[in-house]
Amino acid sequence: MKEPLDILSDIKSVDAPPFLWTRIQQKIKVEQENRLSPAFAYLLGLSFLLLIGLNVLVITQKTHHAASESNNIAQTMNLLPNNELYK
Amino acid sequence: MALCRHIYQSQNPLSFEEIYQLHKRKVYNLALQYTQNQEDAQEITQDVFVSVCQSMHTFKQNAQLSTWIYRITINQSLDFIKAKQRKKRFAFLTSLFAPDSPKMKHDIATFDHPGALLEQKEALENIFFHLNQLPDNQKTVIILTKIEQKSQAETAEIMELSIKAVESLLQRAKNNLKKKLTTNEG
Repeated sequence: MKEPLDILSDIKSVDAPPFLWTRIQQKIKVEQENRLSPAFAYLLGLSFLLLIGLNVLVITQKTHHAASESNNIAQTMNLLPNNELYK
Repeated sequence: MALCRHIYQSQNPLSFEEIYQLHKRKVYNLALQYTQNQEDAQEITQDVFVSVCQSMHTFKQNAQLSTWIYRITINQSLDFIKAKQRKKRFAFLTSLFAPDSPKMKHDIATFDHPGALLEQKEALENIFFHLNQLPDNQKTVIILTKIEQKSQAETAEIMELSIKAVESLLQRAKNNLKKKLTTNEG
């Protein structure tokens, strides 16, 4: 008795359309043109890291500078830099 | 296509064009079994060979080139189907907000399999309707064994499973498919 799925083996193999090769070449060409070169990608990444590093440096320096400035002001005006009011 | 040519010759004596000529029929027909639609199969075939060109350097030569290309085709076909289903869902949702927009018309899947004999078209359309509802691995095992006529050993190599696993998967797939076909008839 024929199995219902046996009909699947009757499906014929067909030829791929001839224009596919041209389309594939075109797609590959477009992909290559849009691709970022590895050197450019590394340069971009490095620049980004440098920018972040510089920002971090500027921020930490500013914080340190602000802290030392307030200490100078306190010293000049003989303000106690602590909570000991009755020393 | 300097990139394809360059990757190619360092690993394999065949040029990319020769590989294409050798495998285009297999790839196209396998894509047809997944989509049952010529346009979609053409799209998948192009994507497969672009992928082959781009990833030729990753081919480890511990399997046959044809097996590797088969795997790429299966993955591309399944991804294509999932992407199409996502688009359909999105189209349905957006049609709720813009029902008259021509872009929101549902993309009705057409059974356009050129390998189907005319007298069997209706029966095949029915079988494929239910086959498309099976899980990916069950669908793949049916396509490879029943349509592509691969042996269980060849199927196991393509799917990277043991022969026993393929046997069990095939049995499950056949049972599920028969159940669906019987329910449909009843």
